[in-house]
Amino acid sequence: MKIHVLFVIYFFSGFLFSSAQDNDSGRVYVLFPQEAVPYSFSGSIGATTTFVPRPIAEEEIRQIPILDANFRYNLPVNFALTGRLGSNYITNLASIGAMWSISYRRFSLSFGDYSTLWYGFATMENSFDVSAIGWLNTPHVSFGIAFDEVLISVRGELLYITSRSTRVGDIEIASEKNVVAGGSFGIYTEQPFFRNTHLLLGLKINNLSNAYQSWLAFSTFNDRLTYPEFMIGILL
Amino acid sequence: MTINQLRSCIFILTILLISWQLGACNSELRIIVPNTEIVAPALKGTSAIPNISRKLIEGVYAVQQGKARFGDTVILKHDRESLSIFCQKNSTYMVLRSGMKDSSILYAGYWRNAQSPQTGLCTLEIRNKDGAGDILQTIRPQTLTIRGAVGGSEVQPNEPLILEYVRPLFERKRERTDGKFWIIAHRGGGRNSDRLPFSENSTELIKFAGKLGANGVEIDIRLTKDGIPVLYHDENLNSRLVDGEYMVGAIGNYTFAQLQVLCRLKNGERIPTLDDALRTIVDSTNLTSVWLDIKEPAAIEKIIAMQKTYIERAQLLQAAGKRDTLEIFSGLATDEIYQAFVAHPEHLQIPSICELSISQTQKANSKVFAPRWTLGSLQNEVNSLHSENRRAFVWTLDQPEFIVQFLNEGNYDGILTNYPTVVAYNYYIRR
Repeated sequence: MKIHVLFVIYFFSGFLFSSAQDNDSGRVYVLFPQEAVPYSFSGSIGATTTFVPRPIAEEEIRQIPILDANFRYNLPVNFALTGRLGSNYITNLASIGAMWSISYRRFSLSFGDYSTLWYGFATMENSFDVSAIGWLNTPHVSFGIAFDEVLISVRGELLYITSRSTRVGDIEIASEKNVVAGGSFGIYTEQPFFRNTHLLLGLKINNLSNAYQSWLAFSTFNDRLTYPEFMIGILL
Repeated sequence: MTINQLRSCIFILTILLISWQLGACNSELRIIVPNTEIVAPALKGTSAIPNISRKLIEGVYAVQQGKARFGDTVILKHDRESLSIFCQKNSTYMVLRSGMKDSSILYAGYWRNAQSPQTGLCTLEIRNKDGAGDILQTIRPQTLTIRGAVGGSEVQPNEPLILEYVRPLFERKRERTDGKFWIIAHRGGGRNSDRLPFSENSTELIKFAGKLGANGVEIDIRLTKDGIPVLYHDENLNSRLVDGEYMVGAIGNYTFAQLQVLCRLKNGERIPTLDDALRTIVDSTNLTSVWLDIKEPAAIEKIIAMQKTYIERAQLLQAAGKRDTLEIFSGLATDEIYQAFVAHPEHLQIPSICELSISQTQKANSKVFAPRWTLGSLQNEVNSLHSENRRAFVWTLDQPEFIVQFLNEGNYDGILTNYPTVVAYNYYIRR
């Protein structure tokens, strides 16, 4: 109940403190689905933490945040190239994709897709090596509302595993190809924070089987589970 | 503080609260068992099937109708009054209660996929003319057909299922060991994430393990603050294993009385003592081996004392013809545990399973060597152990394709698994 109240206050304050006019001066964003000046660049540096379901992660798996960076290079006719790099040493990923945006007054909409190559490796306590590699494809649609410099986006994603392989030493112990692993719904804000800095905050709810974040848990149970993901970053 | 800073703070607080709530909620996995009350009337007015008749029903069956859901062949095996059916397709299994009435044999229960949430209800019948008449007179019938229906989890089953007896279950013959093969259920039957009807490391799950095809269980032992050995896997009390809002930190920080009063395992059971668990195994199951995964060296002394007590108790019951042989092994998984075990004056006489090396297995006079499955089939090493009258169990094997590979190519005497139903199918189907 308290959470709902906080959300109402938050969104109400958005309308309260923003002007009715659409005014995009001073906006800084990387995820917000509004088109931007062609050949301009934006990005963010921060971290994401995924809450891997405890029944899967058990006690042995420590949940380490991934340090990540998001990039966006804007192109003519409302296109943009997008990218992401992330690593917590054990799990590493790189994404590249594209999106197309359309805006009307304070509202924006975008459609896009990105591909991710991820790789994980670790040496277990009783000294054997485990590793995993996967290709993911993620089509997405975003909707955004701008309140002056405060930009709120919601994004729906479909997660498609193109290929995935887990190995213990040289033995491939699990693999899959061309599987719809599930989807996610995220809400993000990009806004001024302190002096000239801008902050990116987000919460994504993943409903997935075999999320890459839980590769080290070697789950053999085929079911979609909820993986909340928290994101924070400084916009460049 | 500016308006933007205030808004960011509210947003951060909101996001963190939601994350925290979702993080807590995502620990909750529901049990996957359909409402068997729907099919329970099928057994109304039945009486128990004699044990000798139950044995005649066990075997490999061809699926005549129902192949889409259960594949071409299935394994039927009883555990006390229950019948279990193990299938290859989708790692499906069934657990059915049984009864006889008017020269017919009746079953009612449920099916589910071991590695996914799919489940539903099932009823089966062996009619008098399909072989039940002979079976109840303890005669093996010339043909044996089981007819019934399966379906979803909320309605009376209506998809036809017909099974026809093909041959008896596979039994291993071996010269140096006693021929037995051990299907050992991890954590008493499986992990909480496998969403079995009972919590991992509970006495309730241990009693259920036989219905999953296991003839042995592995259980995890820790000490409470007052030195009581209890069954619990993790070092800490956590939302994966227990419900109990006020219980945090290491289980060893709490007395057994505190644990009994203040927390329950995920499906509502009490945290059992090792004493409870071994008594349950000896008195209320047909299990023939227990692998005690000792988590703390300090527990060795008490565990060995209990091991001796229950081995003797099982031997008495065996001598009276009330149960099969039972072996209880101390598990030596780490150097710390190993050192504490070999420091015990009676260690050479105490049955143990050594996970470390063959030389340590020999030094501790362990009856069983248990390598991690990723080390491979270790054919030469296993054969050498057999020549010393020792056995080899492999752990923890869960992927069906590797279970088949190890059964076909390895020479192990047992498999520790979270999916005993999958091992059971692939073991008993062999010729």
